[in-house]
Amino acid sequence: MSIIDWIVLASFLIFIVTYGTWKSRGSKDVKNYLLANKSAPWYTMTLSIMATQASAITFLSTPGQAFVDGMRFVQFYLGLPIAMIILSITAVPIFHRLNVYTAYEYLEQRFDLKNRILGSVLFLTQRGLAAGFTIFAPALILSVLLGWDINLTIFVIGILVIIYTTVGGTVAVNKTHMQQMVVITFGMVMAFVMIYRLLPDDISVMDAAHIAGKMGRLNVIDFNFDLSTRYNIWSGLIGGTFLMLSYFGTDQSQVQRYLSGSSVTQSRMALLVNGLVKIPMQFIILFIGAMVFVFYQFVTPPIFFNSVEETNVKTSAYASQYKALEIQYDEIHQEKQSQIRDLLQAIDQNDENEIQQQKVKLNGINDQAKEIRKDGIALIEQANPNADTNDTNYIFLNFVISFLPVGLIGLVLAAILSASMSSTSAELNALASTSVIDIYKRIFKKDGSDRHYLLVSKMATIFWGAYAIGFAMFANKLGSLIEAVNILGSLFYGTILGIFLVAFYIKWVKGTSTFIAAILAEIVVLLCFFFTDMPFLWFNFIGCVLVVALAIFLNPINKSDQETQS
Amino acid sequence: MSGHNIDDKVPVLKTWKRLYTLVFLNLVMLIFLFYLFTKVFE
Repeated sequence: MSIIDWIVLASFLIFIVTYGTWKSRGSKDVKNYLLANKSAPWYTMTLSIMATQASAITFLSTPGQAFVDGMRFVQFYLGLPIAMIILSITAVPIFHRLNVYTAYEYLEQRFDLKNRILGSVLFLTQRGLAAGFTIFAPALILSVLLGWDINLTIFVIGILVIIYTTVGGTVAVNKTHMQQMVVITFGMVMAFVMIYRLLPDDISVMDAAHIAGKMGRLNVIDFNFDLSTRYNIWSGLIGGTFLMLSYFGTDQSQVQRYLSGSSVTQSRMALLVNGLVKIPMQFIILFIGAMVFVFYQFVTPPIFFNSVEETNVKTSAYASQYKALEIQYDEIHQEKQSQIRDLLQAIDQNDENEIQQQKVKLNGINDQAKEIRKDGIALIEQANPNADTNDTNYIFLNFVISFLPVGLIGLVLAAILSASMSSTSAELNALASTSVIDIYKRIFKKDGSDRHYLLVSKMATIFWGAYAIGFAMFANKLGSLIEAVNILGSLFYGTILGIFLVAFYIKWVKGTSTFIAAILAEIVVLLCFFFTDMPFLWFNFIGCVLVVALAIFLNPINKSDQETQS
Repeated sequence: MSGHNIDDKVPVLKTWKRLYTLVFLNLVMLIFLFYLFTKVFE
């Protein structure tokens, strides 16, 4: 990386920390610290909501996803607008009317203390570890591709976030999210412009789109109902709505964003505008990935995008075999280029027969390229049995550092670090709020002064920041933990959503029944996890449905709830 | 904690129902455009 890139990156990081702490210097009470004094306008909250959801891995992994699998991943977000409408109608007015600091505070007002504590503990367990992963994932990729020390990268990202989040609380998180979203958007737009400029002169955007489409990378919508397909319109609309309801309605890192709104109107507007712009944003990021794919049809890509693993195999006993594969891979790509131009000519002439013939030929060449890549990955595994053979997350950044001009590399890296910092700051802010409001203030010290709770909130932010850094460094030593964190989220999300669904929609069901139902549902989910091979995404659905069904079943036979009712 | 504003006046389109419909129709339109996009370039 050049000195100019370092200057761009360092300037941005210094600006964010300075801006965040300076803009929030007036945070002198708990309400201001945790809810930005309930004064945030809708556009600040919209950007904050989007910045919280868009972690660094979104920008590193999503273009790679389009490169490998096409754009169908966008269907994952189709349930989001529906969830935004449902939450605007139900959760937003309830949270505002009850004037709560956290989503779990509502559970005590609706049910009782034990449900509030259960919701808080499930959130703290899951989100605490996820915060570590939010820092760890981009640090791993940056350290692999740029040669940065992973622990130092984790430490720098973590400390910078802790500084402004601790000093300024929610105000700092919201304000820095705005700047971070600007950098993220600008960085991605510039990346797209550069990809287009790097294409051969005779290839237009339409040509590039035709190439991507004919090679299966613009497969945005799939109407086929197939349970074995991970992304189609039905899984997006049904499963996606459940997932987004859970994330935006019960996860404090999101709830806290729209709780900082000055009114129901402002919070609703923030969610609804998010519902309008989120899908187009994901579409653009995926389209960038599809264009990177087109770019690599005219420039021979590396067989494997993780350069550390490639270097390993090239310095091992398998070096000559790998070199031979590289030569074959290059020859196939040269052949592919002339085939692509023949295909474009057929498209220009609108000759459908010729288009189909060229497509078949191109797919044949692609299959040969895939075989070579498979052989290459097999050699990488032989050279290093512990090698990570999935390089999807490395594709976009590999392109950025290999082909973007000086200065722009620094800008895109700033965008990626922005995404990491924005998600982490929202998580630390939410973890601190829940720890202090739902646990410390409610159970351990009910009569403290505002100044005392402000100090404890800041200490909690530092604690969770240190916890996240510690976990991120620990995860580096135990790679398998990463998958465990993803599974951990699914183990708890369904149960939490079930509790909130009962709270919002089934008014006659009381606290004890819901609490017992949640405990039983969680036990069943854990049993499924330990004793079955069920894919972990199903745990969300099972947990949620079990809580609702069991709570309805238990309510009429639960004595304490019947007494409360009468 | 008091004095917060729970005003729920609609800033545009006069009713919330219309605004929710707009978000929903935007989703339907996006799905339709994505379908066309997929068909045109496949």
